[in-house]
Amino acid sequence: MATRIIIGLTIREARRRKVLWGLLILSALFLGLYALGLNFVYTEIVRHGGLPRGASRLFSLNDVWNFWLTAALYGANFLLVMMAVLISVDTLAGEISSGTIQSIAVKPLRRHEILLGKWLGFAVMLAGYTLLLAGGVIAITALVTGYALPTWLPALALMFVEALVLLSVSILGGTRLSTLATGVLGFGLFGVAFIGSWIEQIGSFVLVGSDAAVAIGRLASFAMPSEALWRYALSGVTTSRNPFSFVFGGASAPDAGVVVYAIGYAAALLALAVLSFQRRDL
Amino acid sequence: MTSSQAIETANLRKVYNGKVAVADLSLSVPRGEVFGFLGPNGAGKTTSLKMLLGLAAPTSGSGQLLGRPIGDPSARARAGFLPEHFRFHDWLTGAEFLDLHGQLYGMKQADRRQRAPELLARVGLAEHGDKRLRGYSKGMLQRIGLAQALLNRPEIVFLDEPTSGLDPVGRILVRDIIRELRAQGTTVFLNSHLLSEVEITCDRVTFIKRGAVVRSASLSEMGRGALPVEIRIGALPAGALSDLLSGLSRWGRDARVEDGRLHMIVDDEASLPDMARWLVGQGIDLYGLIPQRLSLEEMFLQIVGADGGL
Repeated sequence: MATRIIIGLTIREARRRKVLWGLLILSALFLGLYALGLNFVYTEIVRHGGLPRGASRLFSLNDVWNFWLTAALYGANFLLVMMAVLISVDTLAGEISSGTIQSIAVKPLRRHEILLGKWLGFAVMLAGYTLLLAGGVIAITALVTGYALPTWLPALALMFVEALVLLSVSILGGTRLSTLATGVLGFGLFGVAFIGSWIEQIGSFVLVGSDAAVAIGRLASFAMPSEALWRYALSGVTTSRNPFSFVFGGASAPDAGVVVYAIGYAAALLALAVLSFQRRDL
Repeated sequence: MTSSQAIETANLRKVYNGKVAVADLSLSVPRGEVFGFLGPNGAGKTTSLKMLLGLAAPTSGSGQLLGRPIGDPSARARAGFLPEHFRFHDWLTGAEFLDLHGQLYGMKQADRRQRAPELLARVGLAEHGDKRLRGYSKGMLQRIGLAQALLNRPEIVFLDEPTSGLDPVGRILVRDIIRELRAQGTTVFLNSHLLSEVEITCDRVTFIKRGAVVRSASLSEMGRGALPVEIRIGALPAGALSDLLSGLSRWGRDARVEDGRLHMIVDDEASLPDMARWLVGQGIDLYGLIPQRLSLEEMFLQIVGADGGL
């Protein structure tokens, strides 16, 4: 019951403070731009009666649409990660430092209800955001080009889990750190996962299965599984001749284990956050 | 520990990073009392309050609030709290704010709908319920914070510096509300710097210094019992002084002349009129009969020291 009140409060605050509007308007801009560009390319290709001869030997039209789609998802994924941290970074750190949390925490509810309520409130928003942004990219591609992904739900789910991982980092940080330090922690870990993943991919591609590069990538994924989740999501939606499948996603593909690890990682972070918040003097 | 006490603590101690905020707090506040918690800045008043309300965990020691161990949410359901630095979700309107806090208290919707406008009116904000808290002045925020603390018809109300942002009208409001609470049998825990406020509202005060209780005093008892009195009279005929002193001694003791003025300690304040009548009856020119009660401020300085305990 108390958790539900905090979920409602969290969502209402995002709406009232124009966070939801911001997300909606920027998503519309992102999707609109994508639709515009895709539509332009589509009409050009149709006007020329298909792909140029050189390209058509390498790719089918579906590979091209798939490339467009994954490139847009790449952008959507990046935005999702950023937003997961940004919208939640101040919720605990800010309310603790301003003292706003005091009049809430003296009410007959438990600390874990406050923390979980906030987490769930942001999780709901991020679910909507994932669906809007990534779902929008997939839907626009199908509408404009007629190319529909065979399966898309797992990719969306994986991106959502990725957002939850970063949300958990942000909430955990907020129980002890300042808003700024929490943001640094969230983006910093994301950066570690990002660079580790690129080392793994490029190393594997250029050196054909470099053990050292893979080891570095794995290590980074243990520290922060966000990028591994993204690559796993990508590997499920790219066609084999999409350039992404060579370099960014498929050279050293993660397996389903990363999902289990990431969910465990987010859950462990959340449990730590509850413990940390319970012991925090407000 | 009995539940006739609203608050009962034993040797509560709080250390932050090696710095002692509260050294050893043993308090007991009976139900229905208006209790003043006094001490200089940094004496540990707010930290003590936070421990009682479960906002900060004691390093050691124990305590009960309304018969439940401190930190237990079921006791907090029956308590109200106005924090010193009242920061609330300022994107809410006053009415929404009260509704939210009513929900957090677990109040039913019907109860909230009745109680919120009632309290808005009580704290003088009936016209401002639809305005966002962002647009409230400091005094208005303090008033809405007070309304929030009373929503659940609490058995105990903690007020941390409740009048610090208020103008004289607001102060009178707080004083009246405290009186009403006392009449309803609600315990009030008042943390205030304004000794004049405390003096008129509290039944009992406790002074703390460096995180420990140094003295408790009942304010009603302070007004009763032995009372130093200064008596100002005109010139006496020669030899009349000793008769006068022995005559006065029936109402008290220690009658003496000091710095050209007559002083004595009277057993009971109620005998002052009799003394006046007797003095006049003796043909003495009486200019003044002045009780020298120790004000709370003097008591504060005496107990805490002019250095403020720093």
